[in-house]
Amino acid sequence: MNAVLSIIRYTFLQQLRNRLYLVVILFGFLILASSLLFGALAPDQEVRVILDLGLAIIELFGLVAAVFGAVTLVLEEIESRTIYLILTRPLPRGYYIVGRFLGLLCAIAASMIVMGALHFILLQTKTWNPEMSYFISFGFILLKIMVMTAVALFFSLTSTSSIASIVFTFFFWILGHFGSEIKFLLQKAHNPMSAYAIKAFLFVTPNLEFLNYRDLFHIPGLDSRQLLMAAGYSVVYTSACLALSVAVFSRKEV
Amino acid sequence: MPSDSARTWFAASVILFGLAQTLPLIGQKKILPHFEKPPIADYAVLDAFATLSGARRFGADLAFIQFLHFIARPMEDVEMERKGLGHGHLHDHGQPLRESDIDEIKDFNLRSVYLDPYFHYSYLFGAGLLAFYLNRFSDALEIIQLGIERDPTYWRFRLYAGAIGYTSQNQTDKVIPLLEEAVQYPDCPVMVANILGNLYEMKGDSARAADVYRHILNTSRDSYDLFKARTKLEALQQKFGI
Repeated sequence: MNAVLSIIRYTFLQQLRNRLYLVVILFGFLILASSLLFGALAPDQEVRVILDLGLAIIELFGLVAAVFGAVTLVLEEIESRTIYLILTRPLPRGYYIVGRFLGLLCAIAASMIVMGALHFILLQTKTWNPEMSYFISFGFILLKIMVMTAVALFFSLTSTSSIASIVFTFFFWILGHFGSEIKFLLQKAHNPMSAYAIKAFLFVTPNLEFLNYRDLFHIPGLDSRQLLMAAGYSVVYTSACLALSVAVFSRKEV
Repeated sequence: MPSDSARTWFAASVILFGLAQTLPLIGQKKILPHFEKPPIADYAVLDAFATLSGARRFGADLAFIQFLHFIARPMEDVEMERKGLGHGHLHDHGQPLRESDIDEIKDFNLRSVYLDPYFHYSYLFGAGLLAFYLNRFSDALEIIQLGIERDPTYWRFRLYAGAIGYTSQNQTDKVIPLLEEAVQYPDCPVMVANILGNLYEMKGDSARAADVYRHILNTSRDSYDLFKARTKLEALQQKFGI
C-alpha cells in the first residue's frame, strides 16, 4: 500500500512540474475569464452563459490535461528507462499502473478544482445564487475525466504512438456522447451483422451521456437514484479499463 | 502466451465491462430528445459538434446569442416603424424584412430550443418576439406548444399561450392581466414588459406604464433595454409629470 502511495505522490508532483500541464491550466484560466465576454453578449442570460461556458471549458481542459498526461504517463518512463527503478523492486505491475493512474487523476482533479474555484468566483461577481446542482455537475465532470483518463491510459499501453492514443481517446470521447444516437440509428439498420458489430463496439465505449449531468441539471424529475447509478457506472467502467490496462501491461516487455 | 496474471486481469475487465453496461440499463433515462435535423443547415456542423461533445446546453447558449445578433437590426427597424420614425422593416442590407426573414427568425429560435429543450427563456423570448412584435401568432403558439410538449411542468408557457391568443384577437383587456402576471417572474423577457408598458400607454394609463419602465430599469441588465426604458420614462415624466 505504501508503495502505491509513493507512486501516487511521485506522479502527482511530476505532473505539477510538467510544462504542458501548466500551459493547459493557464490557457483554461484565460478562456474562463473570457466567458465574461460571452455573457455580455446575452445580458439577460449572462449567468447561464457564464455557467455553461465555464463548465464546458473546465471539462475540455481537464480532458486535454488527462489525455496528454495519460498518454505519456508510462511511455515516457519506458523511453527514459526510469521504469526499471520501480519494476526491479518487488512490486506487482498492477500496483504501478494503479498508482500512476491515481497520481495523474489527483493532479488533474487539483487543476480542475482550481479552475472551478475561479469559475465560482466569476459567477459570484454576477447575480448568481449558488445551487447544489452546480456542485453535482462539477463532480460528474470529474467522474467523466476519470473515465477518460483510464481510457487514455489503456490506449497509451496498446498503441504504438502517442498520436494514435490521443486520436483513439478523442474518438471514444465523441462516441461516448453519441451512444444513444447510434442506438437510435441501429433500430433503423437493416443489416443485422452491422448492427451486432456496432452493439459490440458500444459495449466497450464509455456511456458519457449517462455522466453528462452538466447538460441535465436544470431538468425537473432527475432523481438521486439515477445519479448514484451514474457515479457507480463511472467507477466500474474506470476499474474495467484499469484491469484491462494491467492485463496489457503484465504482458508488455519493458 | 499470456501469463496467468494477465488472464486474470483480462477476465476481471470483461466482468467489469459487463457490470458497467448493466448500470445504464437500470438507471439511465433518455431525457434529452435525439438530435434532429437542425432548423438552419448552415449551423448543422456546429450543432452536431455541440451534441457530440456533450455540450448541448452551451451549444444552445451560442445559438441564442446568434439569434439575438440576427434579430438586433430588424427589431430596431420594427420599433421605428411602430413609432412612425422611419421606413421600418429594413433588414441588414437595406432590404425590407420579408416573410422569409421572419421564418428565419423562427428557425433561429427553434435551433436553440432543439439543442436544449429545457431552455425556457428562449421559448418565451422567441414566442414573445413573433407574437407581440411581428404579429406571427400561429408561429409563436407553435413554439410555445413545443415548449409545453417538452416540459409540461413549466406552467408559464400556458400563461404566454393565453396572452398570445388574446393578442391575436385584439382583446387587449384580457392580455394585460396575463402580462402583468408574467412580468413578475424573473425569467420574463424584458420585451414582454415593454409590450405591457406600450399597452398601458395605448390605454392612457401612464402611471402604470411608468411603473413598468421603472421595473425594467430595476431588473434588466441589457444596456439597450435600459436606455429604451429610461427614454420612455423621461418622455412620460415630461408629458405627464409622473
